[in-house]
Parts: sequence; structure tokens; C-alpha cells
Amino acid sequence: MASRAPVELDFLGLRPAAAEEAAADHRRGSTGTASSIRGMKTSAIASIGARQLRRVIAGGETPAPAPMTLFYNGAVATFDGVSQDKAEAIMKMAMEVTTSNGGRVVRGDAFSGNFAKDMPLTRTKSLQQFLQKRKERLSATGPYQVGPGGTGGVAAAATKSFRVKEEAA
Amino acid sequence: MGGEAEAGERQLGRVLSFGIPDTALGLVMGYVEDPWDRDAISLVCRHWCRVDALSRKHVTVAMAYSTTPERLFRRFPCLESLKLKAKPRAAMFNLISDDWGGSASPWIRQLSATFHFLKKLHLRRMIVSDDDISVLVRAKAHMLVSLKLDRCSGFSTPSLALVARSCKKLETLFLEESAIAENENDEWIRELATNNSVLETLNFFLTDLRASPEYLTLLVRNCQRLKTLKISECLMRDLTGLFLTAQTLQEFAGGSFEDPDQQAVNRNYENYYFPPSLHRLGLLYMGTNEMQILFPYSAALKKLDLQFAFLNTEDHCHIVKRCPNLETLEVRDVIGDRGLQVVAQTCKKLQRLRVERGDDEHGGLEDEQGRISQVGVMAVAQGCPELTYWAIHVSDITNAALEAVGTFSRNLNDFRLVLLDREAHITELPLDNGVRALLRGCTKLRRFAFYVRPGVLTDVGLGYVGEFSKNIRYMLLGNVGESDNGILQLSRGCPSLQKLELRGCLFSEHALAMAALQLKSLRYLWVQGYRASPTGADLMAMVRPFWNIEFIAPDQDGPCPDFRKQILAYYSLAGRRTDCPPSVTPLYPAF
Repeated sequence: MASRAPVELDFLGLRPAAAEEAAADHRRGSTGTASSIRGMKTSAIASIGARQLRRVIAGGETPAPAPMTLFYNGAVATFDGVSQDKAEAIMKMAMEVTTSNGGRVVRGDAFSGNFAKDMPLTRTKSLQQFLQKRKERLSATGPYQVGPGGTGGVAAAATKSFRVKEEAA
Repeated sequence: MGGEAEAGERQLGRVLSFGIPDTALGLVMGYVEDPWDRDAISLVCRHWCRVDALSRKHVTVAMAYSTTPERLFRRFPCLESLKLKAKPRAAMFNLISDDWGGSASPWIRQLSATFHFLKKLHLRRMIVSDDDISVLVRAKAHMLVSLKLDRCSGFSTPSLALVARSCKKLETLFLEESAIAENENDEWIRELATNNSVLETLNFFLTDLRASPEYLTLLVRNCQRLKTLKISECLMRDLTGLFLTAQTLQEFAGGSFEDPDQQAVNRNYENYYFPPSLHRLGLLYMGTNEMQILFPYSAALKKLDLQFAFLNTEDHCHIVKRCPNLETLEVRDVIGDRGLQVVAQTCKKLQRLRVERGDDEHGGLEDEQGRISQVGVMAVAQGCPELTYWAIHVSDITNAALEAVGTFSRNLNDFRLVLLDREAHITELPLDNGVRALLRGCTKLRRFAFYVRPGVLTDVGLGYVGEFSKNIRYMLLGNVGESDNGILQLSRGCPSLQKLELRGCLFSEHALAMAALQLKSLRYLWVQGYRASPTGADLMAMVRPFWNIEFIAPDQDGPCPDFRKQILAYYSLAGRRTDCPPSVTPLYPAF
């Protein structure tokens, strides 16, 4: 039976840490995770409409539920009171939708065992150094920089404009 | 070789040469410069091979370990120009350890003892020691016209000073992106300025070397033929004298701008002087308030490098719309779709476009509009029909955009697309049909890179790649395919594919081995990320004579090292490497 721990489903692989952990679990063949849902191809869920999901969840009154957070299409929705059965029903629906589309499960997460997350794009050293310098420059400037007493930034701006006025005179 | 056999050969040779004497044959061959044509000529018969070899002026050894210096000299004793490459391309992206290999020493030893006509040497991605340079200089200083140490490491500035002092005929000194240890500041530039008067190209762009305006100006004054000057970094405000002196300069890069907050006076770059001959520029850290430096010259610019500028999307639009004569443009993806639309409208003569990857990390601070999608790609395809080289990092792409490339960018010989991880959701998946249309349309394509994410190119898509890559010689594929079928389908086609790089794909060892055997032109294979067999023996299915197979163990630091192991396989007449570091294991030949 599911614990009171929140069931979090990251369909779009937006949470690399969670995905890596899940992938690691998957590879080790561990069943010690909080719910049985993790082992499934949760990316299938992405093809269900959000409204449909809400209907399913609102429909039941099963006791001892856990909150469910869904990341879908750039939006995040949290549902309180989702029971294990409900959650599994959602999974099942997603799988059906997916298979009816011709059985193509679009892989975009770590579950499929691809190496994309383990092998991120790397840059050349020159570009890396340049972007680092850029970051330093941009964080050093800026009008809302927190200076001593919290007004350092404002003071600096004031000084600057004073100097400009002087030159113009 | 027995006298009789030789006479017989000569007989056969004369027959095939239609009675043309060797001298004449050599002269005729001299007009054939394309290395692929020369390769074909050398295969006609042994006689022609010999004549070709004696008349060949330049050779590129794409993989230094594929032959030995002695073998090269035996075949091409009259060589005037040599280019050698050693480390895998992945080394440029920090994926190869420093001790992998690629030492130039055995080559330079051979060059110094023989190769009596050598004037030009180009080493790329190799390790060159100070000792190597001193040996080279001692032997070839009186002849060296061009020395290029390109993305090399292992030497220091005193060696550059030695080259400067000794090689009086040097017209080209190229050190771009090399890692050079600095001793004695920039004395080597002064040595160059005072010892050389024929220099045409000096390039130490993207190195960490110091360069003083005084010595640079001295150089420009003394080397009246200087056409290309690309330096590491020097403030533009200190280079005004240099530009007034450099009346023949055509290309300049590396001038930089200081932090506007740190400078005492707000500098105005409106009337900065550049010589009228200057048509190629690349400036570092140029910001919004400094880009006006380009405006008086924009209309004449043929090449512009903004990869290292601090500009936003709007700035890019402002600049590009003033540059109708651009032939080469290099930017980061901060240019955005909007900027690319301006490129499409303005730069009708554009031949080379490179859109590098900007800062796309969280809190990366790049412009919000600074991302490329199918909109920008379609615009450029339709607006710039003269493109021959196009490398682009996109955040989203569609089949229609790839089709547009195939329809309009007919002159492409090199196309590279990388799909970044910025967007979780890609508009249209898969892109099989778009890729097919692109490959069918761009018939001149010789180099192709498609680095995407799972789901973008299916096994069917890989089949298309195999089917429609008639002339492609080099391919880099990242995160493509769904199963072993993909690579197997690809390998049934790609008749011209010589060099294949795969990263992040999930093909099994066995499939990779089968593919390698099937690709009929393949001579170099690099793979990072594959499904290993339990014993590691599946890979040996591709064992065959002269096919070196090496396993590169991953660096154990960092996450999931297991996935980052690499396979490197290449044809070699040199046998097994003898200088492997601990991380490289030669699997074949075994000894």
C-alpha cells in the first residue's frame, strides 16, 4: 500500500536528479521505491489532456490518498487526495491512449535507458571561458546590486550620473 | 625488386601511359590538385602511383596513427606541404584525456632527417614539445614558409621566439586555440617583428598569450605584407596606432573592450579608424555601446565574428542589417529567430553561417529572444541560397524547416544541426521526413552532423540517412535511432562515408561491429555511448586486417562513467599503437 509520501511524476524529464535516481533504480532492478508507478513508462501520460486527468481524479472518494503533482506541457498541477488505484487508473488510460496512437511512445525521459542525460553536450574551452567571463561581467554590473548597506548600487548609479553631468558641462 | 620485374612493370606502365614520358605525365598530374582525384589517379597502376607520389605537393594524413613517418616519406619523398591530425575531434569538446596521445615527436624527427622539400607544416590536435620545435627549426628553418600548430599543446613562448628568430621566410604562423605556456611575456612578438619582413598571417586567436600593443604595432610596421592578424586579446583603445600603420591588413580578430563600468572615461568608438582593406573582423567582449565601431565599415564587411561579443538579439539585428556583403557570419544563438530573419533579408551573399551555443543554463542571463527555431532556419534557407557551410544550434525544429533547407540550400557541402535541451517539448516528432528531404535536396553535401535527442530520428529515419547520403564523407550523429536496426539500416547505404562519429546512441556492440563491416568506405569510427556486451567480445566481430580497434576507458570522476566509455577504430598500416596511455586499450591488433 502506498505511503503518505507524495507521488511525483516527472513526465517531461524536467527534474534531472529525480530522473537519474529513477533511472538508477530501474537499472538496478530495485523495487524499493515508494510506489509501483515508477517502473512504468510515465512519458505516455503526456498525451492525455489535462482536463481528462482532473475528471478522473475528481471522480473518486477513496480514502488514504496522497497528493499528486503532474508536470505537463509546461504547467504544473498538484492534486490532493489521489489514491493508489486512481493513480494506476490514470497510468492505464495513458497507456491505452498511447497504444491507440500506433504504439509509439515518445521517449524524452530517462526511463527508456538512453544515454542523453548521461552524456550532455559539452562546449569548447574557448566558448566555456567566454561564457564564464560574460557571467562575471553581468553579475558585477546591474543597478540592483546589493552593496554595503543595501544602497551601494543606487549610490554607484548616482555617482555615475554625476560624473556624466560633469563631463557634459 | 628484380631487374626483370622492373622492366616488365615499366613496360606495362608505358603501355598505360600511351607512350607519354614520365616527366610529361608528372606535369599533367601537377594540374590535378584535388586530393580525391589524385587518390583515384594513384590507383590506376603502380607506375602512375609512383608518378603521382613524386609529383604530389601536399598530403593530409587525417589520422596520424594510420601510417608511420617512414612510410609517408617512402611514398611521397618530394612533399612540400604536410597536414597531420591525431586526437579525435571529441578532444575539442573536452571528451578526451590529456594523455591520450598524438605526440608529434616521431613525425618531426622524420621530417628533420628527410622530406627535403618540405615548406609547410600543419599539425592539428597534436602534442608538440619545445624540443620538437627546436629539432624542426634546426632542420627546416631555412625553408619553412608556413607553420601551423592548430589546437596543439606542449610548447611555450621561447619556442615561438626561436621560430621567429630562425625562420626568415615564414609567411604564416598559425597558433589558434593552442595551449601555450608563457615565459618571457610577448618577447616572441618582438622577435618576429625584428627578424621577419615577409609575414602575411599571424594568428594566435583564442590562446592565453599576452600581447602588448607596442610589439604588435612594431610587427605591423615591419611586416608590410601582413594581411591577417588575429591576436589573443588587446584593448581596442590601445590599438589605434596599429590600425593607422597597417595599410594592407585584410583580417583582424582579438581586439577587445574593457568593462564599461571600470573605465575612467566613457569611450566613444564612433570614429575608430580601420584601414580600408580590412574586411574581416572579430572583436571580443564588444557591448551594445561599442558596436558603433563597426558602423562606418559594415557595408564593406565580408566576415564578422560575434561569437565572443556581449550583444543581445536587438543589437545583432542592428548590426546585421547594415552588412549586405557578408560572406561569413559567426554568432551565438542569442541572435535569435529575429536576427536570422534580418540575416535572410540582408546577407544575400552569405556562404558560411555558424550559430554557436550560448549560455542556456538556468539563470544563464542570455536574451529571452535568444533562441533559434524553425522560423529562423526557414528564413535563412530561403534568404541565403549561396550557403556552403551551415552549423546551427537550435532549440526547436520542424520537418518543414528541414525540407526548406533541402529545397533552397542547394549549395551546402557541410551542414550541422544540434538540437539543444532547452525546450522540453519539440513541435514535431519525429523528423525523419524532414531529414530525408534535406538529404535528397542537398546533393553536394559532404559533411553532415545531426545531434538531437531520442525520438527525433527513428530507425526509419536512419534508413533514409543511409539511402540519401550518396556523397557524404563525414557524419556525426547524436542521440539518434531506437534500436540496432537503425544503425544497420544506415550502414547499408552511405557509400562514401569515411568517418563516422556516434554519441549517445544506444546501439549494441554487435550492431556497431556489423555496421562498421558493412559501410564500404569507412576508415574511421568513434563512438561514445553504446550497449556493451557482457563480455565485451561482441565488438570483436569487426576484427579484420589493418583495422585498429581501441577502447578508451572513461574518466571515473563524474556521473555514470560506464556510459562514457569510447570506441575508436581506424584503418592503419602502422599496426598497433605503441604509445597508449593507461586509459587506452588496443583491442586489435593484440600485439
